[in-house]
Amino acid sequence: MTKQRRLLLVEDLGLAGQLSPALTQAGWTVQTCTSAREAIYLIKQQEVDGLLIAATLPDERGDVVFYRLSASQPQLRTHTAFFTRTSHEREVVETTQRIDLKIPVTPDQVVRTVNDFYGTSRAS
Amino acid sequence: MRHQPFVQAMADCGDTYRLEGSELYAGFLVLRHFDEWLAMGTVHTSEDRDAVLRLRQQIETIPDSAFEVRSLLGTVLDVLGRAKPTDIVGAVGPLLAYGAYLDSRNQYRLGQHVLSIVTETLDSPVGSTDLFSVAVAYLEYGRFAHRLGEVNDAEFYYARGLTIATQSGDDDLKLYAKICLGRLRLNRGDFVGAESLLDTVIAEARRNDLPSVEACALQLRGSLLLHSKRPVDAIRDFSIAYSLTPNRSLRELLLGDLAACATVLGLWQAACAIQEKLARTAHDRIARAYALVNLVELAILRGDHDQYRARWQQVQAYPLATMPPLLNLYAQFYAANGVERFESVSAALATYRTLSTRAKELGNVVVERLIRERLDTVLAREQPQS
Repeated sequence: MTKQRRLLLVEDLGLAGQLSPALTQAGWTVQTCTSAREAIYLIKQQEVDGLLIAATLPDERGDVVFYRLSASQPQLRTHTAFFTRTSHEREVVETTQRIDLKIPVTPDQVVRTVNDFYGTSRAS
Repeated sequence: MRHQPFVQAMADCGDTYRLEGSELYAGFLVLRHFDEWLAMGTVHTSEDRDAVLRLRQQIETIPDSAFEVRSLLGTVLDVLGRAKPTDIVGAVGPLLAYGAYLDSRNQYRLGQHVLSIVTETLDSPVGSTDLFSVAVAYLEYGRFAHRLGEVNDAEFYYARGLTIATQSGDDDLKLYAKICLGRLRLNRGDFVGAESLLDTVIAEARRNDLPSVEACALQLRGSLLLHSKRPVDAIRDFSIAYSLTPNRSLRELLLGDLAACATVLGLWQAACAIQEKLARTAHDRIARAYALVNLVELAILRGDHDQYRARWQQVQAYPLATMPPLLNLYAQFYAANGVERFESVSAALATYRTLSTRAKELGNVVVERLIRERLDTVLAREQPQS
């Protein structure tokens, strides 16, 4: 039996609510939060296998949170993708060398991205 | 000297200090490398590459026990190694993360220094037109100053952050900046100014449908009302905030606040039940530590000497040295309450005086006032006997 992989989704509730069902159906255990502060607390509680994060959060830049989280959980250095909304956000995300999911995105596109973290094409 | 706080911190480590394996020394070298990157751009010559290699080797000597900072400092080099001189906003990302790491380790002076480098870089002619990043950096710098008790500096940087956040057009950040200013006013004892500012934040957050911001502002206004001896009004704010936020750490904080209201209203059994649950199950370690300290207070109020000793032992077993200074202050204040109640009034008085000075150093008039009130009450009570 395959181990269920955990995904931390740091986005506003609207987009998170649209994406969570598809990700869950694809076999991911999804934990959502909306702020940098909560993401950092959550990451201390448990190991996660992937991170989807907004390039800009209400209280911090997404790339800054990514650097902090991936320092404590090194698998996130590669297993992270950003949601970007502006060209400026895309420039910042480019310096992280991580995947840039340009809003608007479809649930299938996001599922494919996180499945590719592990080089698997999960049945959705 | 450019990175004086790091040099001072290394000097404070004493004669046994070794550069190899030192996260302080590696941090100092990385900041110097950032200076060079700003001046010269990405390395080009073989000599430069050798210098970066030596720096990487120095970072690698940081032991596994500090792997998080080892990784962060390595990331600064990675990003600077590939960033173009025009990528300043992206390039400072790992430095902002390093500042946040230092904050989480209570190394406020060092964190403030890192943030000062970021703010001067971003808010310079070659810096950035990304107003969101500049505003975040100023607000973070203000937070460090606030924690260090440098309240005038904190106010200046919060106000600057607010101005830039307003220019950026980001409503969330603008209101977050106002909440920072509200907290500062509350700590300074300016209840009227703080309440008025928070009223506008709450109204604006409601109007713009920003429930997370509204919840933060309600939590802070509730604290203000509690300090103003209006616990029933405070309960209303805390309850609304609880219903608005899905944020677990904020919800835990609010539960602790509601228990504090119950304590003030004399509902000690209810307060104990909430605090015990938080002390056992809160995800946020600071919320757990606060709950334990509040259980010490409740044991004293109930006159239960055995409970007081047991709870205080639990608090002492907690790594309070790694906790924020304000929590440390509260812990010591309630410990002194216990000493006053069950052991020695004179010993407690000496502790109150020390703590009052400490609260003043932290720029927290509210806590200073709480301690002074206790001190004055005890002195008035003891006067006729002497």
